[in-house]
Amino acid sequence: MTPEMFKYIGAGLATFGFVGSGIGLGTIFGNYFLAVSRNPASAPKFQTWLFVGFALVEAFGIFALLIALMIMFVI
Amino acid sequence: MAEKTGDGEKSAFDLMHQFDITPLAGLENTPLAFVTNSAFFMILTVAVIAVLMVVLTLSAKVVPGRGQTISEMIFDFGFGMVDDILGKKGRSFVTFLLSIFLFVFVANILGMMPYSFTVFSHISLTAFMAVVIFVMVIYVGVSRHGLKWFGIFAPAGVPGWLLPLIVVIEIISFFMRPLTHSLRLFANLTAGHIVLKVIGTFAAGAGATSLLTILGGLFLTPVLFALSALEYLVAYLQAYIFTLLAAVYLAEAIEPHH
Repeated sequence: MTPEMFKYIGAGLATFGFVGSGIGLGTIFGNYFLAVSRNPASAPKFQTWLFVGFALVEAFGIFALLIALMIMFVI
Repeated sequence: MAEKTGDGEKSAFDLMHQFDITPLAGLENTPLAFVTNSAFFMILTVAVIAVLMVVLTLSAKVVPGRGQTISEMIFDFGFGMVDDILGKKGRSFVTFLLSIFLFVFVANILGMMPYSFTVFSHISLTAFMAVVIFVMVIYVGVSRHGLKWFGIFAPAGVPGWLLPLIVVIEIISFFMRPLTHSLRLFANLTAGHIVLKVIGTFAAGAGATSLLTILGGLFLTPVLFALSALEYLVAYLQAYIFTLLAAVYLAEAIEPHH
């Protein structure tokens, strides 16, 4: 095993941060569809905040991607 | 990730090559070498928006025609988003937010065309835009509410013993904003274009060596088609989210919730 190999393994492990991001996105969209199927008239009211929540949750996945990219290309 | 085969030759499977910034062809050793493909596509984006808007509103009437309806739809979209988040007080930011949206959206769409360059696949540009918005939020907040505005770091209703911790967390998350704001756009476009390149290279290059690879290429072509459609969705969605977050940050500057 060379240090180069550990770099790739570390970059792969860093992408595990997407697990949490994925769970969060599933929760957000799942609850949005639950709410909208119960009260279809409320869809436009929730839509804007759906995307705000989507963006905020996605940020944590992007932090993980940032770590992976830093391991791959910076360090 | 593909290995670089050397300085001189570019491998067909070099995924990052599409993001290289180079002077435009024919301008390499002239004084105009600062016109890179990135700069060219930014200018092209602004030109496309300007020409489109001028042409669409050339014959503006009270009863709108076809072109005017499209331009009014674009403005309605901007006003709708701003009214949702900033309320009527934020009407003065419509032009700023709509310009950001159109710039990001048109640049992303132009970047989807073959042989073009995706400007927002470089963090330097997204980070610049995010920092400008960040500084603007602080300026608007302080100029409208004075130093009291920094009370947003201490949310109301937090018990006293928890307050020092909350303030620290709020300050850290506040200064993380330009980072996440810029990384989201950059990472989504870069990752999307790398995936397109990987599938495209497989679909085009894997064929014609044996029956199996030909079948693989035939199978991957519709996948590539679907992925391109997804990338157009991402181009719109990320432009929308970038603008939406700018509006959300500005909303806190205009009406802070203490």
